[in-house]
Amino acid sequence: MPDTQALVNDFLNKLKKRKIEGSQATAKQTAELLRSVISQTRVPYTNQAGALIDSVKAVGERLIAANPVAADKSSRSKKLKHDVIEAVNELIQDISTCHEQIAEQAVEHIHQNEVILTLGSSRTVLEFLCAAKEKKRSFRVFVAEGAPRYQGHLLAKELVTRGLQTTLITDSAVFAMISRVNMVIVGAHAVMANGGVIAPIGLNMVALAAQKHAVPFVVLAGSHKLCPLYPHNPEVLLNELRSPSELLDFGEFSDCLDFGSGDGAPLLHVVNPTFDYVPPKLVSLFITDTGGHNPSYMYRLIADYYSADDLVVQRRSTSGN
Amino acid sequence: MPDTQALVNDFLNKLKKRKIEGSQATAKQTAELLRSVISQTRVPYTNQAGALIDSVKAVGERLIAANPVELAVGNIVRRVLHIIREEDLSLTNAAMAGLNLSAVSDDEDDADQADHPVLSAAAVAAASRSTLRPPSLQTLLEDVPEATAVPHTTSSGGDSEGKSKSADKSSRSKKLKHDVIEAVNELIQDISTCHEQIAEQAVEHIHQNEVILTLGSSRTVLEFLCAAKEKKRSFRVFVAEGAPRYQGHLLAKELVTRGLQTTLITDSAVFAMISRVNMVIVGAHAVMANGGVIAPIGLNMVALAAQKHAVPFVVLAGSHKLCPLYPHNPEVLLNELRSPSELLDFGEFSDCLDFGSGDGAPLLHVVNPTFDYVPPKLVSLFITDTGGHNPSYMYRLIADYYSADDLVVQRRSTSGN
Repeated sequence: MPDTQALVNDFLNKLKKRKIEGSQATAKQTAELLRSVISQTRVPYTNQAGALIDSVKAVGERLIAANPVAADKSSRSKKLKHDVIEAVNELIQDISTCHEQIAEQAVEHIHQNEVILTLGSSRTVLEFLCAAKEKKRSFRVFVAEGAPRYQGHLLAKELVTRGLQTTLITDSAVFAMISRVNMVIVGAHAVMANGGVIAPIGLNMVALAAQKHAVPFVVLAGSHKLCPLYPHNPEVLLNELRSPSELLDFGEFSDCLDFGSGDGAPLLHVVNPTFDYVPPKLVSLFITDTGGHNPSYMYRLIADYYSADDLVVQRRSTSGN
Repeated sequence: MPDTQALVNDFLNKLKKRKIEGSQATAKQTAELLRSVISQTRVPYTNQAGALIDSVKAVGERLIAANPVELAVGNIVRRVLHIIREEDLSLTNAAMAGLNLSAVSDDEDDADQADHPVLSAAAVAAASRSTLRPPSLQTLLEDVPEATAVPHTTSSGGDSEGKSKSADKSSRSKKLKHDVIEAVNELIQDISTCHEQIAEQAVEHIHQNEVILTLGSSRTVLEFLCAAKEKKRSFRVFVAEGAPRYQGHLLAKELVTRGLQTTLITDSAVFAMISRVNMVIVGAHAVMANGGVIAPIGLNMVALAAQKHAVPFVVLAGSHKLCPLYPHNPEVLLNELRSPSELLDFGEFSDCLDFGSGDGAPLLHVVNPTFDYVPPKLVSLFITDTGGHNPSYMYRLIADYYSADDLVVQRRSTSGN
């Protein structure tokens, strides 16, 4: 299967080099790749599902090893290759349209004269807010800039072009402003099985402030972000440290960060984590493309989407499973 | 003192029959009554303060017993007693300061010693001990009276001591009653203007585009909100109607005539609306020494809802409402049950409420309490005419207004206090 192998290797490369930004793009490309793998897999007369599962697991194992933080998997098994491919197509369709399905629910949650707070930039949140705006709800948005990438600036610009009253604040100003906020709406990187959220850095602080002031903390997440693993699972790397260059210019600080000076250990360490873990007790509501759910309900959705056998994606040495 | 007795009996009658509505009116009339009592009291040459205190305590005891749940009466009685003691002390200081000057000049001329009152060292020490007062806000920054730093002057003979004391007292005999009445007049003035002084602080607390929640009707709250409105703050008010008297309806009407955007809700709707409220502002019936509040019924529920949604709970109270007693004090009746007729019409329910039917005990009981107790941990801020205070700070204000001797207002059998 030369074509598929080339595709797989190419995708693996992109994952390792973090070239693909965002869970939705990652999920979509993963699903498309697995669809190709499935269509190329030669299936025997007996135990067709086993052969398909094996080949998907083989590829999936390598994909997960390439980027363990991107814990998106999709594996469904049906009797016939055709049905499987159809189902995977549906899956790809769902992934593409998750934003619209979530945005449809915006009107139920955002009311007139409300003040919404968000941090950083999430496309789901943007579409959610714009859907409410189109339904003629008038509300205001506080955007926390989301250091160190300051993607909140981009979101604020985008909201303004769509005609929403926006206020840009620093991350540290969130606690000061939260008493005047009616709801916090944020996106997520991933949702764990216990209802905990892997979210962009800074959101744990926002969730704590919201709890203190009894402000609902709403997380928007497409169903492809729902992970059947628990945060305590050793496979799950909760975080990733990015380059210090996002915080400091190397030129100015090269002497502080130099490993060659003094004892060989620099005096200045820079930690630049990408994600935050928000525990389920701080989340008021999850809005997925299937509707709104309690954090304590998320484990039930897993039964709909995942099989228990697939929690550990490793090909076994025996032919069947 | 026939006039005073008639006045006292008349006031007692009104208190017993609950004819006077509101702490402010009660406090004012109590103060005016005590002023008449003081002016009519005949004071002896010695121990004037004691005589005044006795007569005030005699009347005060009866007033407090007439309406024990109206704590403002007891507060004013204790304030007046404190005033008497304070004025007495300040006159003592002034007299001693004057005497010390004359004593110093006497040292040079022994011949004039008999004519000028001179104090012995013992009398000086005794007087200086009595001028030591418990530390309070207002006295901390005052100058220490010169009397305590007096040079020891000695005189010979005990009769000069006796002469000095009586001369001492007579020099201030006319002044004490006069000063006390002046101070009581100031107190009445403070009670009358407490609303304006509290309303002056409204602009610091109410900001633009805020939503305020209140329950029932309080004149202090009304003036507070209107003062903020006049300073061009635009805000909205949710008024909970305050069953069973529904005085919230009157407040809502009043606010609308003054041009404020108002929403009237039931008491049960408070928890549903409180997430959109920025601040709860309410009045109080009385504020206890621990910072707890005796408030109109329904306010404990509002305070709990406000705590759950992290909404500040602000209590407005004039200083005449500050009571030096703690809620656990057996003298304090925290509540009063009013007539069931405010809830039910007797006509419709007469069979249910009838004591004559069945076993002689009716199946339907109606409980109509007047007040609620709001514990200090649910209150965010007290706004009094002296400014904004933490609940845990209220006990300090007591030292300014009340003396420790007066917590129990009972006339002792001995003549002195």
